[in-house]
Amino acid sequence: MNRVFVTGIGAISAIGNNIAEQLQSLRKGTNNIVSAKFLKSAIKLPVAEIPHSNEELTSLAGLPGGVTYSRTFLLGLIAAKEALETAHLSDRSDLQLISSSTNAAIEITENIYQHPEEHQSLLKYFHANQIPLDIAKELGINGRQYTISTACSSSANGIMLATRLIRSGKAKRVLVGGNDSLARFSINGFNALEIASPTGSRPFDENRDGVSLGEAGAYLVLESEEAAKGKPVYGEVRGYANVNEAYHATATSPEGKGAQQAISDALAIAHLSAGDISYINAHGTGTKVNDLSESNAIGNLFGDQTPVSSTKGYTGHTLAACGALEAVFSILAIREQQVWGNCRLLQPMSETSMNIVKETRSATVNHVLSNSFGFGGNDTSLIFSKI
Amino acid sequence: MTQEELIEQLKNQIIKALSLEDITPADIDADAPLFGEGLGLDSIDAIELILLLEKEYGIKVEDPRQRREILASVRTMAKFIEDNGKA
Amino acid sequence: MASYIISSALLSPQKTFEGTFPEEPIITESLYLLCAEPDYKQIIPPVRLRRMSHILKMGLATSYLCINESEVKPDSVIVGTGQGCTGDLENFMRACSEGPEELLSPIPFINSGHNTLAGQIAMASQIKGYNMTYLQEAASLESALSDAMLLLEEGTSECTLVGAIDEFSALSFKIFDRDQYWRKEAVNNLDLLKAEKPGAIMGEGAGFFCISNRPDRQNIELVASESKMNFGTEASVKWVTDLLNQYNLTTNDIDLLFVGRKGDQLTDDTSYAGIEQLFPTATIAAYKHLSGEYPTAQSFALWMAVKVLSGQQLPAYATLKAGTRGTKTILLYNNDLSTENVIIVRKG
Repeated sequence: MNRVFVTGIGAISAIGNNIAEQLQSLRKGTNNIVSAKFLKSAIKLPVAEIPHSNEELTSLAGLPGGVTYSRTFLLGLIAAKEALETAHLSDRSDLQLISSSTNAAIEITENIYQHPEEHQSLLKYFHANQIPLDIAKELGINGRQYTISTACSSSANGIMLATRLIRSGKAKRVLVGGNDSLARFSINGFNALEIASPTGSRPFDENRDGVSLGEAGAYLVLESEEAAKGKPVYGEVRGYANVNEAYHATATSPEGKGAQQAISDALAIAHLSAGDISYINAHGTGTKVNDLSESNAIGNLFGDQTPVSSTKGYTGHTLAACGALEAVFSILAIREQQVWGNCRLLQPMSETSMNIVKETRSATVNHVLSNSFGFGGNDTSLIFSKI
Repeated sequence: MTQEELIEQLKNQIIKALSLEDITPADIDADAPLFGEGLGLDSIDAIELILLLEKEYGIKVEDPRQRREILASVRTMAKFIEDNGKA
Repeated sequence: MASYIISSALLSPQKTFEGTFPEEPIITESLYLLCAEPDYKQIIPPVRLRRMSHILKMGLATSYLCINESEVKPDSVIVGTGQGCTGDLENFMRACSEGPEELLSPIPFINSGHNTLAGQIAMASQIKGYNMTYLQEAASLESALSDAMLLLEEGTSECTLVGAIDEFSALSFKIFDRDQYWRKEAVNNLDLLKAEKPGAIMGEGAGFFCISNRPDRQNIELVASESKMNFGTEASVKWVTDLLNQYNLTTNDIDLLFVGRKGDQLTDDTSYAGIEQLFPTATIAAYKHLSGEYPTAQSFALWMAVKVLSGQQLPAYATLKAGTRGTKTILLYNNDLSTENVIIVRKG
């Protein structure tokens, strides 16, 4: 069985255009969940928006201006380029690509579906797989390509697939991640489900009142130990698991049964026990139901010792991108030997014994657990380890 | 409109809003609990019923804690509509 | 370790839900083919049915049938869908534009999540293991199948339910009308493959398969499920030849070839002729005049392949060119102008 190393990381979110900027924000803990500038919707809720227009993002992505691109595509391309650069990958002939977005380029299609004939150059975005193909074309990727869509656990599941492909020898190196931009469609969906926060998300807070949406692109390069030989390595993917809770279409069970199963299975794959985990990057969406159910699962397995935080207080919930974004933050926790705070937390929830990290601080970080849970009962846990 | 008439109207609106195709107004006991036992509705149905009150009767339920009382049965819903002067 | 297809079920515009090749195909003069749907009330419990969209009903009903036919209950679910839950996606998009945005029902939003079907199957049949959804146009089924093969190889699963599904969407029909993607005039579906005009006819369908690490008495092995990005329209003959090598097969081993010809005068020959020439002695079969064109249509061919390997006779209405020998190994090739997709199955 091949070991799987992380050799490249790249991300753009509300808290920075690249890894260096995001690292700074994770340390500073400033608030980024505010009113939208670019998102057009009658639903006026605070969001974690990337403070750049599409034109600015086009230039950040290194693409020529004068062309309209999907914002989701631009976020993906910016992050994917940074991941490939940090991995020093110039030969991409055997590189495979796994990517995800919640609803393809919904931020484009929701605005043009009524009069498609007026937007000939954008019609390609109705193809569910257009963004990954465009990323592959732009970056010269020739290997096999996969697109996963499991709502909020999508890109965590992508990392799991990439790891399994490399472990089994079916891939040498994979560029894997997710991208999602804010859209009227998604903010309306969360609002209609009554899980959108009117005040701005506060994961694991006593007075938390829902999700704040965010947007991001996040990609990692994973390589087999042999393919990564001689390269700087950020960490290793040691554990992974995906299960289905089979409980409810959108909510998690109060005891967090699915989450517990996913975490236990991931620990088993990694040959680690709960006590080995130095930090947990929780799914922590900021809803009453998720945070309670997840903290029950974590409390049952880890007691009150292991530091836990949700980074969604910084970035908002970036949906299909959050698994990869939080994988990047987990890798950074290992590299920097720090655990990230719970941005925007005022009063930790009383119904838990979990050790909630309030502010970013130094710590010994050897193994990080990262949870991502999606609608449809989809629960995924990943474990990243120091080399 | 009498309360009984309002109840009858509500039952029809509930059947339509929740796509309870195989159920007739006569099958719904106005005093039986809507959630759990009774009709066996869930949290998503609760959202639909709140929307129904807003769309059909123009009443906004601001306090989420009020919901449990209002949506206890068809009769409590009818009473809430009457109390808001919208019957 | 080998993977075996131990049950299959197909809901399609043809009468395939009964599990055998229909004696006569349904013939229509149309721009699209819709599924010959069963009475869902007989199959799906009413409490689940009431909030379900068209694609969810199609998928859940077909999953029940496939699981019932299987000797082993699946422990994992993988769904491949080319365009996903387009019906309710469209409904919720429309609701957002028409507003008021403050008063939207969440149900079409829930149903627009592309993994809703896989989640519903897990809930309905209480399958609590691995649960995945690929949303990848014409490569969706092939990604789902190869993931299932990997799960069995790892020992994570003993039997995985794999589904391929796409629903007819008026919006897709309208949008992809550009570039002569669809026929402009209704055509008799039995004449479609003459490819006398540009464009295909749209279809829909749900195909489910239980993939197990142990064969049943039919002993049908799933050998390969592969896909490749292709930014041209021409078939990559070298890629297919290399694949055969990789699986220790030669062109002579392929007795039956399914091609995804869709009746398009502009692309059918460039997309398929090269592959057909690679197997000069094989029987060649086609199916998109029966299923219509949709991203996961190759699942229709896979269901047919399973039936042929179970001993049913390939119907004349699906045969483009009859070969001379019996069928042991079958290759399916589909080219949707951005990816090429190959599945290989054989009698074990």
